[in-house]
Amino acid sequence: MNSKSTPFFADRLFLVTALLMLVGAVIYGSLASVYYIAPDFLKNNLGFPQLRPLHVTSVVFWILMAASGGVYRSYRDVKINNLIHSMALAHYVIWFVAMVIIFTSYYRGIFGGREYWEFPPQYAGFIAAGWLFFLISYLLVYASKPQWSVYHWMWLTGIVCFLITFCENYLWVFPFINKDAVKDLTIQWKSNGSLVGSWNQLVYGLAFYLMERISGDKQTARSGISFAMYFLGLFNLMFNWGHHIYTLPTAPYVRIISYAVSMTEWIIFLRIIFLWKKTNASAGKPARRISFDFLNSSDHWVLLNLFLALLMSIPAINIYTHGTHVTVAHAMGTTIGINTLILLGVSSEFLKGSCNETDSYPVLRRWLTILNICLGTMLLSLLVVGVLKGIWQMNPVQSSFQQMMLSFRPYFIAMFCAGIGLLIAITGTCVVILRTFILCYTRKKVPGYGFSSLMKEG
Amino acid sequence: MRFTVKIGILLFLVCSFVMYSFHLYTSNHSLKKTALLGDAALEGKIIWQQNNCQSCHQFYGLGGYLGPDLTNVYSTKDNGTGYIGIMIKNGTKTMPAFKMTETEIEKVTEFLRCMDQSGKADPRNFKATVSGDIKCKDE
Repeated sequence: MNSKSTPFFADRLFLVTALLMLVGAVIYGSLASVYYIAPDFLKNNLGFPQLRPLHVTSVVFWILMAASGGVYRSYRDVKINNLIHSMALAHYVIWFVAMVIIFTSYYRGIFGGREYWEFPPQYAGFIAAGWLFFLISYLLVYASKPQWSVYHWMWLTGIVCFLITFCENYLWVFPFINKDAVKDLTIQWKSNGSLVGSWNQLVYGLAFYLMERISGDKQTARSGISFAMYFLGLFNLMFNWGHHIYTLPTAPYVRIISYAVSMTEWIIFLRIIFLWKKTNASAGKPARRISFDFLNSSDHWVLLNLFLALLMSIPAINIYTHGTHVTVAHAMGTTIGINTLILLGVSSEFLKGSCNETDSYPVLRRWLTILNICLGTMLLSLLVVGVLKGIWQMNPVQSSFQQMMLSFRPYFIAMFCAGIGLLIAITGTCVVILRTFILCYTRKKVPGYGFSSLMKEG
Repeated sequence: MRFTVKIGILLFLVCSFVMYSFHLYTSNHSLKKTALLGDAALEGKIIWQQNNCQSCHQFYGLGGYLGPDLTNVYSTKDNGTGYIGIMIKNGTKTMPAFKMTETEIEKVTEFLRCMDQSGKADPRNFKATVSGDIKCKDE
């Protein structure tokens, strides 16, 4: 590290805040899931219209802040000067202000009212401004670096595409989009789909970066197949969003293009992981390294979600799954099973500094096992509900919506219980990671954790 | 992979993306012209958004999962315009009662009428083809 004066700590600020956001996300998610079994729970105090954006926004901030923290962490490998540090801090401060404003607005019942990540458009300026600092700092750090690995390309793509699609998401404020209901929905889901693709580029880039650090293999991230995967991912980011709107009365080419592009991105990603594991197997599994276990665990969820995504991208099947909890299962599977596990790996690896984490390994390993079991249970219950709703919505003689929802109650109870399990497992994981960080940072040695070496970086 | 090849692929993808996006922004790709919202419907849409109705309800299967899809609630048999107003004012066991004025309810109803005119959301209107694609039964 080439720090000239003040130590660089912005990456850790991002990672710690991200973990707190993750805890908030599972708390809000658990509260929201109560509505499926006790519909009048908190109805007139903290209603579902408030809980859903609170949950989604916490999740999005978790992903974006942890991903940003991971990328900022990589700056330590190259160069950091005061300007870069100031930019990273400016990004953090602007986003922190934005978070306070956005969460307060939800509690006060002020909404943007759009689908997915929503808040009033005037707050979007904060998010874009902070991200602009991120982009500029990234270019200042990496523009002059020769021979970029694939993760450098993925990070830059993620940062640039996020900015574009985030702005695109607000085109609805212009009458030429807002007045046309179908065009508005088309553009909204075009930008939402690509927005997710953008942060996926950041997260998968971090997975590559982490793999490289764990295995010591620098060739995989520079291989032709890795770049082929990257370009296929970018191709999907740009054109594979139409599966959200197959049933929308828009021009058929929107559906056909998306169907043709399909979800090949996952196949290549899986191939890369497989190649990396082969390399790793020959080198031997790293002893008691929790970040490896998080990455390894995400592999299994990639497989399940690949299968689900491929099925859902076929229009003939999509008409059964669209608008059902199968879509929710896919969203949960990718967000928790893939993004969250990778980012927990990133957080645990980079927050411990050079501490020896061996003693916290069994605790984290146990939480990971519980997390996987609960996630599996939740996805199973959501898939059953989704399939049953799919059958209901294609049935020529339908019972009422209320009757249909009531008949799913046992599965919603299973989903709720799994959600509580996830709340405990994820909170437990975050507490151990944060405790490790605090212990390292304050240079204390506490019985049962035994951190022998202290933070030497930054 | 050579740097020039990477840049070439990147430029091709970026140009394609820009052209496709521009086309989607500017062309009229809605299958029905009736999808255009008038002033009252636009105001109704704002009220819809301010109350975050989308968190529970869907249009064309897009939105929340706690309440039903409302794309064609306006024309659903036995419902009608009065039904929408009653639901907004009184709520249900799950849905809170919204304190809206009669004018606001009329605007939301007009917005829902326009959404209803834009097309049919019921997946039973589609049939699968051998290629795995779907076709609207009305076509």
